[in-house]
Amino acid sequence: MTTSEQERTGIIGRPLPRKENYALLTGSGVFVNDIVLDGMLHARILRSPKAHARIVSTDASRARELPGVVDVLTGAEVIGHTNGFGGLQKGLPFNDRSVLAEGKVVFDGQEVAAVAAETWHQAQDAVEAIDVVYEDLPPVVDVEHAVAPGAAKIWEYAEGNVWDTYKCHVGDPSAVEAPVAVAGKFVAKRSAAVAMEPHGCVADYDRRSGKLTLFTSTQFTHLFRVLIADVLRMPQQSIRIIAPNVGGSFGSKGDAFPHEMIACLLSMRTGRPVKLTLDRAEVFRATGAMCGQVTDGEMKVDADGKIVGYHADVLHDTGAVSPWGGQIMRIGLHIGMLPYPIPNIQIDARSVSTNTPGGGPVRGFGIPQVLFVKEQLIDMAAEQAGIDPVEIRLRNIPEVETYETPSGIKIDSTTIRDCLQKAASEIGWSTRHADRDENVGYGVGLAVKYTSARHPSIDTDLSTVRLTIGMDGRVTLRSGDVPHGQGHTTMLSQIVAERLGANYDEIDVVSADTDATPFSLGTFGSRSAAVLGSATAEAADQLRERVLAIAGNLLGAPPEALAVENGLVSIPGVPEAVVPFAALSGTAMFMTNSLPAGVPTGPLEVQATYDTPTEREREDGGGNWAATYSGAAHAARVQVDPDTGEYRILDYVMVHDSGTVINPLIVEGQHHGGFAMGYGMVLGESIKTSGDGQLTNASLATYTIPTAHDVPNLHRSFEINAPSTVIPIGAKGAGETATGPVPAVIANALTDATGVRFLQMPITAEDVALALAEKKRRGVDRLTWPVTDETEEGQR
Amino acid sequence: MRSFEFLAPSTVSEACDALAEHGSEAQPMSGGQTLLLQMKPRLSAPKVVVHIGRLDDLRGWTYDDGALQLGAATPYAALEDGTPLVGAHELLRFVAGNLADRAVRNLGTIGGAVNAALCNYDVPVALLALDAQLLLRSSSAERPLAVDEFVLGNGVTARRPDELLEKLTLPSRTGWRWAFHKFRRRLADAATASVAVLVDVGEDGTVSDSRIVVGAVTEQPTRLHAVENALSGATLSAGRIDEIAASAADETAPLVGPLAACSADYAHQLVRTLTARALHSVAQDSRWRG
Repeated sequence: MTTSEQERTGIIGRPLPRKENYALLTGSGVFVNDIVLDGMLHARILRSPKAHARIVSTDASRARELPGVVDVLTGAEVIGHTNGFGGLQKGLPFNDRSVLAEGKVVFDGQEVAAVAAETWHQAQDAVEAIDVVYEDLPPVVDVEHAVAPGAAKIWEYAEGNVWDTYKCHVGDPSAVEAPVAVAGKFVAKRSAAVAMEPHGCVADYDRRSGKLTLFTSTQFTHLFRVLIADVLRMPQQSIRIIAPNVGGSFGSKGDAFPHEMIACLLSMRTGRPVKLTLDRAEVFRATGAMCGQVTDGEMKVDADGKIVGYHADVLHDTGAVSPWGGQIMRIGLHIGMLPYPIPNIQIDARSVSTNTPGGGPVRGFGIPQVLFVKEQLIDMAAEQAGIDPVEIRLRNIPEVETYETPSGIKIDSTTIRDCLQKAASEIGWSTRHADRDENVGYGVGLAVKYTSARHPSIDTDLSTVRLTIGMDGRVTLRSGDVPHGQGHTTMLSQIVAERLGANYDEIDVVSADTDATPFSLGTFGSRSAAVLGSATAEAADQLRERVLAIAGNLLGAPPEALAVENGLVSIPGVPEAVVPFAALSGTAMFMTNSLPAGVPTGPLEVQATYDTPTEREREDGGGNWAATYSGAAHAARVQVDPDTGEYRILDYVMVHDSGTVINPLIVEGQHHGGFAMGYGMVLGESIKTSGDGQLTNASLATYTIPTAHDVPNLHRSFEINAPSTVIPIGAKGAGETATGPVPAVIANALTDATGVRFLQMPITAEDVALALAEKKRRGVDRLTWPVTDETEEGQR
Repeated sequence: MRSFEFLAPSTVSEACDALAEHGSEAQPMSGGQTLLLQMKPRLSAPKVVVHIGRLDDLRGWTYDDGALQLGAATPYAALEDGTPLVGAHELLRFVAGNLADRAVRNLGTIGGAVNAALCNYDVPVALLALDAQLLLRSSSAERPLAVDEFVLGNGVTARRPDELLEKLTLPSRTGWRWAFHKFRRRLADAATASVAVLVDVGEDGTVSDSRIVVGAVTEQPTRLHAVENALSGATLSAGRIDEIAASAADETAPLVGPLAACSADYAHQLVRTLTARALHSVAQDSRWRG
């Protein structure tokens, strides 16, 4: 926390414990799998064991006869009766998702059939009794193979398996003569989000009213309703989407999934509620992982250490189905260049389909992959130029708080220089090599990440809230967004308490229910504090005006003479001149003769929308796609065991610019969690597929997320906050800023410790040990890992 | 999981009768820390589960003329919390207290680990190094087997469907030095590689007898006979240890393919590293533990 926060007197900025904690910590919070409805059936899905195959036949006759089976869905029941989906989200005219596989399967785990039965076990038994005959098609597993001539085609619309491209051409890096040029082929493998709560839903169709209610673990409800109405060919108003408590998502539930459509169909066909919860293996296989990237990257630096050119050819692996893959590619590659105003950029990227689990958003939305490349190239350039890694970064960050990059990104405010200097000083950068222990290395890295960003196919990035003072004086905020760990109730209560003058303990937040909340896009992209928070502040300001007008009339004083605090309006210094919110509400609804002119009768309620000012993609691929940008400078001291290759963090410093912080406890928690996910990406998280495309580590025993033992003490976390000058509430978002730099910071520290430059993420203990053995075998000071055929030949 | 019949016999002979009756449709279960994990995703689906984990006759240990007699259903935690064992038998107690997490150790048993016979389990490695004899009992007979006669492959044992593993006998290893080193990704993970070392060092400081066993990187726990021969008569000097550790890696033929936890190159490097570490720790005669 910075001093500016400590000096605040209002409730915004206070580290209040979360209002959400009580229910969650006592186990009384309701998650989707806790929901039990009368007559509820249980559904299971038959998933493809093949990554790429034609479906020759499906025979469910045995399954239909099994005890307890109420309904079976195969392609015959679904194809032609439902629409495909995915295209709308992509902003592209084709769909890659269907409720059940149509004609062929494109990834291991794809939905082929489903059963609803009286019990989970009966449903599972029936699923196993469905006979499907497949005809193998060549699996396309590797992204480089996917674009090679002769590779099998996964989708008809994607020539060479490339379904989207992105070019950012600003200036011309190839024309730049520079004394320092560094390059490498970087690979980011695919880590998964691994939310603690698996994906799941309960669908409840009421035949009398024709109303379908879907309780689901998701990040968005209103847009989801649009999608589901289209897929099921139903009127939108007949569908209600409710997200109860959501046990984490990290991007992985920011999509519409076939299992949700399947549950709805089964409920509509049987007239009974249907629960469908995925098990952990299904979550890995069917809901996907982050997008992989193979990058041929080059950076040019002039004699002063200024970055003068950046060039990257990128293969962006989106798996077989990818709703947001194209956007992840764009946002990651464009905004990932920050904070440096690089004058010449040439990025050519292709979104490539492979027969692997879908590539989607995972905390950081394409940024960690890009920072892993760029923040390492800077260190490589620094070494070649003989400039200190911190110094070279400082030389490339403008010494102003506001600037625009040649690629069109408008930094409205940033303290990233201060953050970097603070991180360097805290880690002991200047004396780091004076007396360090053997096998210890230091690394730094930066991230400047967008806070929310517009979707390429729509013009808005908005949140809407409705704020009401009830008859009893309690305040209710209805938000169309979907909290899943961000602490919306606490954060929004703080804003309402301060801006409206309500009592913090008398504010309720209703979220994530399409029938009870106004339209909002959903919760993703670190947008809540900035976008939803600004909408809430606007609503509170509007309502306060009405409160003051009514109270002023009752108290016989002008509004500016009134104070509003804790749900009471008063004339300061006049003890008996106090009106509670309940009286104002009653006046507006029942004693309307006491309302001043111009104040509407009826409930004390306002609705407000905040939409960030953003630009669409420019012709050259640039543009200001987000309204504001948060910052992070991280520094690490790591120690390597050269025999086993294990490494551990001895010290880690995080310095963030999160803009205005509404609740420092929540922000710090986001930084801790963000770090842990970034650390997992580099330490060893990645989905593994066999040559046939089968996922081989689809369990928490084999997919190794970091545990409490692996994550270091993160007490050295600092904020140097410059409020956004664009976002009304000044917040910049904190949900993802801490993830992005981590893999690059660790990679840089490992290079410092070992002399090996690691170009592949994750960097496992095995990589480190084998690289060090190879370096020793060759008798060299510097090695790039993994060793490519070319460098190998040079040594022979 | 599939539905199954759960039998809880009150004596070993009742348990044997149940196994005899149900044959290959039955599975004995003691702590269930492997079997249940296989049953949940239906990888294993016995029709009958015979619970032997609460049978007093199968739990606990005694010493008989220097030999350790250990009930097969003794939980790891009982060893972990118990008094030290005699001589190099401490290796087993060390291993039992240093695997998975405490919740698993409370329920998981020594016999269960041998029966599971998964290549990355530590207990079979320790038992092979300790020359343990296993006693299998059926309603009609008993059958002693050495660890390497019992464990035939990764997850494969010589147990017949009507047999249960009753007890283990570890010959006296008083005066032997021991060490167990393993590498694992995360604290509670199974081993990526493990090495158990037992040495008997004579008055003159040379090794008179030894057991070197590698685990996790191979299909089943594997004694490195050539290394043991090379150790015979050797002194545990630093230079000699490095040579022996290198030869241990050479003698190890790691698992390859999708089941392997790591590449063969890394497996070799880990075996070399862990063997060296184990030998260095037994070379220091003050304390010989992992």
